[in-house]
Amino acid sequence: MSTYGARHAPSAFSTPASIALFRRLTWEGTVPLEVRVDPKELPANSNRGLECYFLQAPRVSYLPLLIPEIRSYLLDVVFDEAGGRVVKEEEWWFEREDGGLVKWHWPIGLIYDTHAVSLSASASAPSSSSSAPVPLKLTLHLASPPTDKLLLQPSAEACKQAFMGQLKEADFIRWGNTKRMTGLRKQDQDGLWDGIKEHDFDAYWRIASKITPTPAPLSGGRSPSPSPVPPSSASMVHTRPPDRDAASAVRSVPARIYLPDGPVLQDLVPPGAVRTLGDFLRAHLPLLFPLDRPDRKPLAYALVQGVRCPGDAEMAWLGACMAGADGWVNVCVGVEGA
Amino acid sequence: MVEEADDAATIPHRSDGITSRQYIVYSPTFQVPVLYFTVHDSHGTPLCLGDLIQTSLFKPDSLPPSEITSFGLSPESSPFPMLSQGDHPTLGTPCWYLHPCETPKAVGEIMAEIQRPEWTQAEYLTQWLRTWFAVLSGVVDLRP
Repeated sequence: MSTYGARHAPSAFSTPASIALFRRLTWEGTVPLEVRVDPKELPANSNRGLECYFLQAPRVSYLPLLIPEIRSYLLDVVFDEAGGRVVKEEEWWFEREDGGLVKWHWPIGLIYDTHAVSLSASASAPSSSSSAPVPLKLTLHLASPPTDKLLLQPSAEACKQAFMGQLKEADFIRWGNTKRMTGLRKQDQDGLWDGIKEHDFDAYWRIASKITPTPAPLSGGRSPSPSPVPPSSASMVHTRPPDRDAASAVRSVPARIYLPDGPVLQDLVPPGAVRTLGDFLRAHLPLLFPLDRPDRKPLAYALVQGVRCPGDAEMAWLGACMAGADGWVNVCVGVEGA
Repeated sequence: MVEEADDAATIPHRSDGITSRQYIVYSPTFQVPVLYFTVHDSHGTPLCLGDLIQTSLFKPDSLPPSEITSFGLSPESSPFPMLSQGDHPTLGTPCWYLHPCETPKAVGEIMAEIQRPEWTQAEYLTQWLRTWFAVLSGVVDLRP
């Protein structure tokens, strides 16, 4: 008679199908944007009253990549011919409803979530159980970008470079070196950005899977390792046998904490000390996320890709399945209503 | 661990009237100090990259052959930029910064040569920082 030894059941969240599902869900996440041209800056003879463009933007994308779409709309519907000719996209910049400048090099999902949590901390916070997501209202300015507060030129090329820089940092945090990123052929590096530009999940992940760890199939804190790369002559530079990477743990998960209207927190957190999101938040914000408050309402919550994440979500899993396209797990901390 | 230091220095250049602010900030990612800086003309307009590297902040001919765009300087030998823009880690304002990924190696090589076993941790770290400045000054002129 065979008996089954005590064995951890494979975590339902770590099967290849489940990993692919959550990566797909993250990729397909969108947020509503309402882009309104500053009425004072409309060129003469513009179709006033129509200078507002609504769009459902991918969380993993970037504002400079939306500019062509916005521009087409404005040229078709709002500006007359003369107006359309004087418009210079390199002078465009975005402002939030509260007057804050929008960092165009941040992923759109992050811009949305940081706005949402900053609202949570304000006196006029809406009830946290509102059903439909509220559009993020952005004012589009057509000229005179405040160059002391904004990076120069929101061009797609500059955005791509910033994106590559974030990927490189994420690579370094995971492995202690940037060999996986630098090991990618130029074609593949460009392919990552093209995948975002075209919003093509398969094109992006075909390359990203070479550098992103996957959670181990068994639950119980096994070290994440990159998903096996199909043998191909092109990828020989950075292909590693999976067991070699499983042996050396991922050093840390690239993660940053965004407080409502506050600074961005980033610290190296070794995977041994911090396993779950709860551990991670307690390590940085022990007063907001105390351990022993079972009978009292939570003070704060954490949003990842717009989803309120439970404290027992594993950081390694979040890093593998719900990170942004730039490799980072952006945790936006909001304050619970009174 | 090397401590984070914020160092803002204003260097008015008499003939051109430019202002440069320089910060040394600890990178939580690469765990080394990184130089962040801004350069503005007398009207407060930030200098474009092409003009910036011609100022006295940079040692002439010290930069490798590189591709220069409006937003970054990338050596021909490398797939990644050496100098680009980013958010200042604590101020959140836009700055130029020198990419730090080669720093640990460059400083490490020198430290391996000069390190003495009798150094305390404090002496080691001080010397590390001195060496870091030395490596940095191969490219950037920090003298007032």
